[in-house]
Amino acid sequence: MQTLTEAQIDRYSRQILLAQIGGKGQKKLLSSRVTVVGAGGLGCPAAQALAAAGVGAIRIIDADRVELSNLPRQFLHHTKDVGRYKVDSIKEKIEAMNPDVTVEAVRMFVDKDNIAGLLSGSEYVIEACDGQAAKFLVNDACVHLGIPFTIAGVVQFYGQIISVIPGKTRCLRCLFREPAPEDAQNSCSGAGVMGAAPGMAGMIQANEAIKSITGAGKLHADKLMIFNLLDCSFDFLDIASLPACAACARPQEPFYKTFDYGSAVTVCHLRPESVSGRDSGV
Amino acid sequence: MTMDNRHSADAVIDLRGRKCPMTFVYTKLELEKLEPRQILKVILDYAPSFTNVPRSVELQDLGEVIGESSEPGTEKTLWIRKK
Repeated sequence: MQTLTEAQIDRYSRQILLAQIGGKGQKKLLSSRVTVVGAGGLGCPAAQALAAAGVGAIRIIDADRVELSNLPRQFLHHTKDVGRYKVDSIKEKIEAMNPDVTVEAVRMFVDKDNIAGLLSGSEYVIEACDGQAAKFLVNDACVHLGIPFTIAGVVQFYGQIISVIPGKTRCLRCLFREPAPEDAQNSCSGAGVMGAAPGMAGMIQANEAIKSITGAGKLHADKLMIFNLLDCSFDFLDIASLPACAACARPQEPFYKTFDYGSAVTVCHLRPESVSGRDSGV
Repeated sequence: MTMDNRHSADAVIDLRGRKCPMTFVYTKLELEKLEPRQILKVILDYAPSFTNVPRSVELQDLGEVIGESSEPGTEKTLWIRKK
């Protein structure tokens, strides 16, 4: 493993100080790759926290472009970025923030055919899309590929987060079985969202990745976190005793290749073109 | 622990000119390079580090301070046995 430079020791000193991280943990972060699927309300804070912490390689996947209505919650995009690919905007900000980090900007949406290739080589996956079908696709593919991951969903002031260790803990499909029909009225574009909700969820997702890579603490696995920022309540649902879903029961088989995710799965949102003034969700 | 309890060392780190928390950061990184029970000699000249470094080493259970020597008011040397 590489030696930390003087500048790295200075930059990451407050992490090295942590009993759970130290120099060894910091080197692990610097030599790891995390894939973030989605460059919006969850993906921006997640990528920002990963990059600031010194995760050395971040692959970020999204074919969407920045819209003005994204800016209150997609914190890495600035007014001048409207119309740019979100992944290009994030790459620019992160590489300016931390030269230790390489960002691989992938201008694609995940689908059944490309997902294995896009996730492979990752030590951790952060699902940061806004459609249920895409969340299930990332879930099912990670279970098959054996990559630990976290999934979050937010709307208005509310959010839910789970972490999954394939083969060891319950997954999104164990919990919900099937994607619910897409409901435009319950999306961020239909129902609204306050930026702090995806901001907090994305930060927790990044922290899960950091813990998974370094071995620090305990992952938020076998539990569903449900938060409500209107009354500042945080609840935890124990999902450890749920029966294994079809994807977890036979992880060696690529369940995601046979499941019908519906038409929405090819994209992280419901609308294929996106350089209009309308919002595309989280 | 005596005020002048010198030991041989497997590694030495001179942290004169550095302040908290970097004195502990560098001590911790040096300890990570050693094998269990090897001894690190740490030279300090920032007074708050004289107590902060041993305390942090013990709080994080990284090792044991087995000796120290002081130049009155100016420098302190610690010998730390890695756990």
